[in-house]
Amino acid sequence: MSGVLASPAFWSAIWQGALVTVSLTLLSMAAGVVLGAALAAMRLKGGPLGRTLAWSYVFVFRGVPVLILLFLFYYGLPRVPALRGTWFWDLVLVSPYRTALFVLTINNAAYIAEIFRGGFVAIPRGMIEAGRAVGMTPRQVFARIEMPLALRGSLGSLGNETVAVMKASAITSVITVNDLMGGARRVGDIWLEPLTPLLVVGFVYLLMVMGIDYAVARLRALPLMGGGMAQR
Amino acid sequence: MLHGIDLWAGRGDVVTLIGASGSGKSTFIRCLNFLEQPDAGEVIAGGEVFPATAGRSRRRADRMRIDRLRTRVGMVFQSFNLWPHRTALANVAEGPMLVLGLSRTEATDRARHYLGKVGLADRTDHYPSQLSGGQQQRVAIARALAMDPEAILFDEPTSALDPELVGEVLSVIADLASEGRTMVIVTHEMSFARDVSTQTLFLARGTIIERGPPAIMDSPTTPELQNFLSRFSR
Amino acid sequence: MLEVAAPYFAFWSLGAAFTLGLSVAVFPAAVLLGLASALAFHSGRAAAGAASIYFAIFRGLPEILVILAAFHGVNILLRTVGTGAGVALPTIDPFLAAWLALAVQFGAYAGVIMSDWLRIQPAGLSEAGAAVGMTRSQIRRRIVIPLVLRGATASLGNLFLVLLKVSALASLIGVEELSRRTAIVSGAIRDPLLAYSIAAVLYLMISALAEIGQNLLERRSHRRGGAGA
Repeated sequence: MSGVLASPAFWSAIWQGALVTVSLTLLSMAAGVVLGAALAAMRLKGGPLGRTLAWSYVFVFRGVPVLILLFLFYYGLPRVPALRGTWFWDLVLVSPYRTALFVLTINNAAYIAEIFRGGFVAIPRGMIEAGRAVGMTPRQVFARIEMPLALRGSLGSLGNETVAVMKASAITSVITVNDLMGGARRVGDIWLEPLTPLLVVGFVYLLMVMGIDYAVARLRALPLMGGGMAQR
Repeated sequence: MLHGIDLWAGRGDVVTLIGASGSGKSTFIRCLNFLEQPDAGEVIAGGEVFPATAGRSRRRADRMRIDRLRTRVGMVFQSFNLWPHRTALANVAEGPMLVLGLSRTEATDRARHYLGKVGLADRTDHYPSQLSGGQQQRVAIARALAMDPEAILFDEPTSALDPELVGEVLSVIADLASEGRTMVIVTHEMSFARDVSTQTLFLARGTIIERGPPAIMDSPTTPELQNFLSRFSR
Repeated sequence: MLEVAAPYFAFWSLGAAFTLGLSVAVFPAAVLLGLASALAFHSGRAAAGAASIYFAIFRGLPEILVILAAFHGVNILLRTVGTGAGVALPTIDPFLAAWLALAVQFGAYAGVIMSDWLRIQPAGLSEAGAAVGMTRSQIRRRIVIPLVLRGATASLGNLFLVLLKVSALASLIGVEELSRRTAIVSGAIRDPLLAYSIAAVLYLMISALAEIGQNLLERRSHRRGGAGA
């Protein structure tokens, strides 16, 4: 059991893997928020066509397991000759890491779109009326009041989504991404000790969740987010 | 449902609307800036006529006319409706900047001025969650004032406040009245209504039952108003 | 293009059925575990601490990790015990390992959902039970648990949909469900694009089916007096 734990190569794999996991999670959240906001806007204000498109996107990318999407993009798409030399190839399919980031993001965006949709629906009518009452156009109300409020109201759910993305990022190890999970599995294979590395990275994942929860709690305490010394 | 209501307010008039809850006061005042869509009738402001149909119209020109009406008629809500993601200053500066097209500096200067006017010069950088209900409502009044409106509508401005905070908001509104601002106020504060109004309308069942100078509250002629006022005398 | 895959459709459909079957086998265990841990969470005793640790651990651990750890962990345990007793014990069946891992993980998810519902139960309903002379365990069995289950129906239904997708990870330890069989077909027809596209459609169909079932279930629980608070 101690064989693995005594090896510096193991700890360096964990460290490198942790960096990959963190970058996959954060980048996928950043891109997912942008894409998810666009999808939610389409779903709510996009007219019949936009609504249908956004609904279909959410249905497909929430319904297909990440594992299948990863295999589809990593093993399937490179077989399409027409894609060779396109920007999509150069930008996404060129490496396992980028493919993983892309798949996590399109999956994540479907969930975030639903979170934002809930955030929009929950905005009190009075907030919108106050904007209309000073003569803002619907477009101005949407950009200056509804959007920021939906984002603000979604903070807790976005925190949970960040945890979910981090957990999903562990699946990318199946397409040879060297994240935490990938590192643990590789080391386990080499030392023929599959369990110990898993337990160690499990602990690291738990630490990361604590970090995410802490960050969300700090954000929530900001006055901008409605925290602070509310008197009423 | 409202029917057969008319209201005329000249410059500097303070019209108060009183009546039991459900009598249609709030619905009526919300029709004045088309937050509620009237089926018939018209709103005339500053010589411009806004027919009831304008509220439902999908035509761009009509919608722009309504937006213009709203910039000239301010509104203060019962539940403040301050935007929680903006500081007090930004809540007030938002309209002038976005709608009137003022520069950021001009808009914040103006916001600072009006926050000072409602006694909140030291609260400009606070978020709504950091303010008491009375302070929030005063920010909302500053937000309406900052648009330089020709008239301001108040929809039960003190009904959501704890009793000890009502006074500070009423005194701000009373100050505005003494400056000669044109205002329409829905309120349950009878003595306040008596003090500030130039005209009082008593509504019940969606229509006007009695109207006149605030003195009508001292000598009500209809049983409805007598009945209504008796609940306030103690 | 599809004709290459045609000979495998029977093989594949069985995989899809297996995916549904695995989730159906896991779900009741997860709900029971969830209910027990949610009740423990609100018991105010040492069990509450244990329940919150259980929730926190499985909120943070990736499902793929739990499945692999369960598979390898149980096998190491069996080997150690076997060596100690001087007999060669068989290795664990992958299905059993996946069932165990998913039940424990989704038990924690279900536990969080149900403890939220327990928290918002109006005290008056239990008090009304006490007022007619019910014992604590009667109140729990006849009032609290039915109300929580009814209230949580929608969330638990969503959880089942998540389970359907996550169960794909069981393929990584050799469980022959839809994903595993897709990998096999993909190798046989040498067309991963086609194979995984079809698998994606099959997953969507299973999800759609489950969603229809969920809607029916919810409508029934509404008819029986609504979803609670």
